[in-house]
Amino acid sequence: MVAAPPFGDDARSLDGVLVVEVGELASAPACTMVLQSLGARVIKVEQPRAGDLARATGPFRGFPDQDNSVVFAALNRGKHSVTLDVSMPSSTPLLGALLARADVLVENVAHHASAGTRLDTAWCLEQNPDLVLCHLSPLGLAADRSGPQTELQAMAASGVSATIGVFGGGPRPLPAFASGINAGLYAAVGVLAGLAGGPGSSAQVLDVSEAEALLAVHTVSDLIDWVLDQRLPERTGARQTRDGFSSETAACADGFAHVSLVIDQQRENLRRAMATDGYETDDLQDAEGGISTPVREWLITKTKDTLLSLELEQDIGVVPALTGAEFSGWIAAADASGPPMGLSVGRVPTLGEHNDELWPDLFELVYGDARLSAAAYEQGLI
Amino acid sequence: MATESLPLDGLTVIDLSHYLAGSMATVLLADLGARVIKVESARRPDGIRRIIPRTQGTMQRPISYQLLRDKELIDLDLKSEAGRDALAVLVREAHVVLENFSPGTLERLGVGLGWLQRTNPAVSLVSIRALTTGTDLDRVKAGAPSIQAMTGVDDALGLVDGEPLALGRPTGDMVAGLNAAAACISAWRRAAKQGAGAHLTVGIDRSLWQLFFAALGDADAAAAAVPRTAERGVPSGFYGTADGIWIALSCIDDAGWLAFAEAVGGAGLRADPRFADGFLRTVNAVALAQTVAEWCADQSVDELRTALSVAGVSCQPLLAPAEQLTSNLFASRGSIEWRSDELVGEHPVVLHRFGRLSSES
Repeated sequence: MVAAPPFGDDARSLDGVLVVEVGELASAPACTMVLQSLGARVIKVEQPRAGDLARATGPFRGFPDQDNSVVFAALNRGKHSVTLDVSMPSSTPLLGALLARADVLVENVAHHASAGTRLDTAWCLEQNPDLVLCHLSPLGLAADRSGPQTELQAMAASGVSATIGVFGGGPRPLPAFASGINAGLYAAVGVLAGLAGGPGSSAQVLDVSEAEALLAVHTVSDLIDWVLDQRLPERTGARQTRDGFSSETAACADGFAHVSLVIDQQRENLRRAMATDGYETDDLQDAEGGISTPVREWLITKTKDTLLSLELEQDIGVVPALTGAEFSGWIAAADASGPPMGLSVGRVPTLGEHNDELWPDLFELVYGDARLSAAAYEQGLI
Repeated sequence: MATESLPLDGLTVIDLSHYLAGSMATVLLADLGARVIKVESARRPDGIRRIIPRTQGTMQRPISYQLLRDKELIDLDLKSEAGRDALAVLVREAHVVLENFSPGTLERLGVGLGWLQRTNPAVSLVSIRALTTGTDLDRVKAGAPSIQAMTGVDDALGLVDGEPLALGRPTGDMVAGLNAAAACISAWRRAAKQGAGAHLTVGIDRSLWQLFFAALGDADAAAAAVPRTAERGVPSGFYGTADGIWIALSCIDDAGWLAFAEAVGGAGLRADPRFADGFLRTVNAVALAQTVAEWCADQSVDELRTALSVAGVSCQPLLAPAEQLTSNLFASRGSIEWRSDELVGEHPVVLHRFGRLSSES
C-alpha cells in the first residue's frame, strides 16, 4: 500500500508518455508534477539564465540561489530541465519539433501578451494533431488582457477569500501558490482523462482558469447557498460554522487546539472529560456558534500533548492545532512508517541540466547541424 | 447537439464513500464521461444528505446538490449477505472501487481488498484517509476542519503575529477529491495495460500539504520554520474601497509599480525613496501597504478600476455569489448550469468542463 500523493510505484500508469511543460511558478508545474508522479517523462522548458520564476522564490534551503528554492524543488523533482527562450522568434521551429514528439503540452505563459501567439491552440495542434493541450491561466485565455492576470484576481473572482479573515475585517488571500496548485491538480485530472483515449485518439484541448478551478473545488456551495437561501459567505476568524457544523481553533496551555462540535458522540465525550475536571458542561456552544466560555477555560489548562492523548483515548473531538513545522516534526520524531510530507520524489533538476540530451538532436533535425546549439546558447536562445 | 464523446466513456467506478472527498472525485469523473454507481444504504445514508434548517424551510447541505448529481444511486446494505452479493455483481463490471471508511472497515464488512480482487482481479481500490502520517495521529477521527488545524493550515493563514484563521471551507476534502479522481483514472489505465488492479491511498493531510506547502514546508525543508505570509514587496492584497467593496490589487513588477504610483500619488510617490526598487518595497512593505490602503479607501470601485486600467495594473473586486452566476469569467465558459430539484427547486451547479474538454473535430 502506498500513501498518495506522491502516488508511489503502484500508481505508475504513464510510462512512455512524454509531457512538455512550458510553465512557471505554480499551476503548470503542479499539473506536470502529478503526471510525473504517475510515471510520465516531463521535459520542463525554462527561460535561459533565470529559469522558472519559482527558482527565485523563497523559502530557500540554505543560501538563496536558483538551485535552492524550496518552492521550486517541491513542484519539480524528477523533471528534465531544458532552456529555451520562447519569446524569441527562432524558438518556434525547435518548440514545434519538440511538440511533434510529445503526448502532452501543459503551459501557463500563453496568457502573457508577449508569449501569447507562439503557444496558441491552433499553432500547437498544427505541430501535433494528437496532442493533449492544457492551457492554464488565472482567469482563462478569453479573459480581458488589459493588465497582467494574477492569482489574487482568481481568489477575488472565485470568492475563495470571502471566508478567510477575522470578524469584521478584510478578506485574506490564500497562501502563495495555493491558487495555482489547486488549478494544476484540477487540470491534471482533465489531462489524465484526455490521455485515457490512448494513442491515436484525436487532440484534446483544455483551457483551465485558476478562478474556475477555485469555484469548482471550493466555492460552488456558496453559489447554491445563495440561490436557495440568500445566505452570503462570512469571515469568522478561526471558527467554522457552515451548514450547522461548528468548530473552532482556540488557545490551549502551550499554543492552540481545534475543537470540533460536529459529532454527537464526540460532544458527549468532551462533556465527560470536562466534567471530570469540574467544569460546567451545559452549553458547549455560545450564542454565536463558537465554543462556550467553559470550553475555552478548560482548554487553556491543557497542553497539546495532553489533548492528543485525551483525543486518542476518549475521542473528544479536540486535536492540537500545529504549525507546519510542528506537524512534520511530530511525524519525524515518531519514526513514522509512511513517507514524509512531500509533494514529489526524485532529483531537483538544475537549470538546463538536460540540455545536452535534447538540443543537439533537435538542432540536427531542424537545421541539419547539431553544432548550432553553441550559437543558440551564445545568442541566449537556449 | 450530437451526442458528444467524452474522454472517460467506458470507465465504471463504484463509489462506496461518504461525505465530501469521494463524492468530489466521482462527480468530476462523471462530468468527464465515467459511469459512477454510488452505493448507499437507506439504513445509514451518506452524511452529506444531512437536512439543515434554512430561513426558507429545510434543505440538504448545499454542497450535496453539486456532489450527488449525475450518478446512479443504488441502495445496498453491505452488512447483509444479499448486499454483498449485489456488490459482487457490480464489482465484476467495474474498474475502480472508491472508499473512505476507517481503516479495517471494508475487511470487517467482508468486502476488503482480497475479496475485491478475487471477485475481479482487474479492479482497483482507491482509499481516501484523513491522516496518513504512519503515526498515532492517524487514529484521530477528524473531519476536514480538524485536519486543517492539525496539519498547520490554520496557522499558515493567520496574520503575522496573530492568531490562527480558519479556511471556512472543507478544503482538505475537496483537494483530496482531486487526487482521488486522478488516482481512479490512473488505476483504470494501468489495469487495462497490466491486467491487474492496484490499491492506492489518498491522504487528506497530504492533499493539504500539496496546496499549502509553500507555507508549511516540504520533505527536504520540513523542519525549517516558514514565516506566515507577510505583506509582499509589491502592493498585493485585498483593499477596502469607498463603496465598502473589497478589491484585489497587485502590481507584479517594477513597471507595474511605477504606473501604479503615478496613478495613486503622482510624481511624489513615484519618487519616494522608500519604494524605489523591489527590495526597498519589501523592506518598507508595511508603509507601502498603508499608503495603498489609504488611497483605495477614498475611491469608489469604478474610479479605482478606471485609474488602474489606465495604469495597466490588475484589479478585481471580490465577487459575491450572485455576481459569479452572471460573470463572464464563469457563465460564458459554460461551467455554470441550472438544475431543478423536487424539494428545493431551481439551483446552479458547476460543471467540470475544463474550458470545454472534448474531441476537436
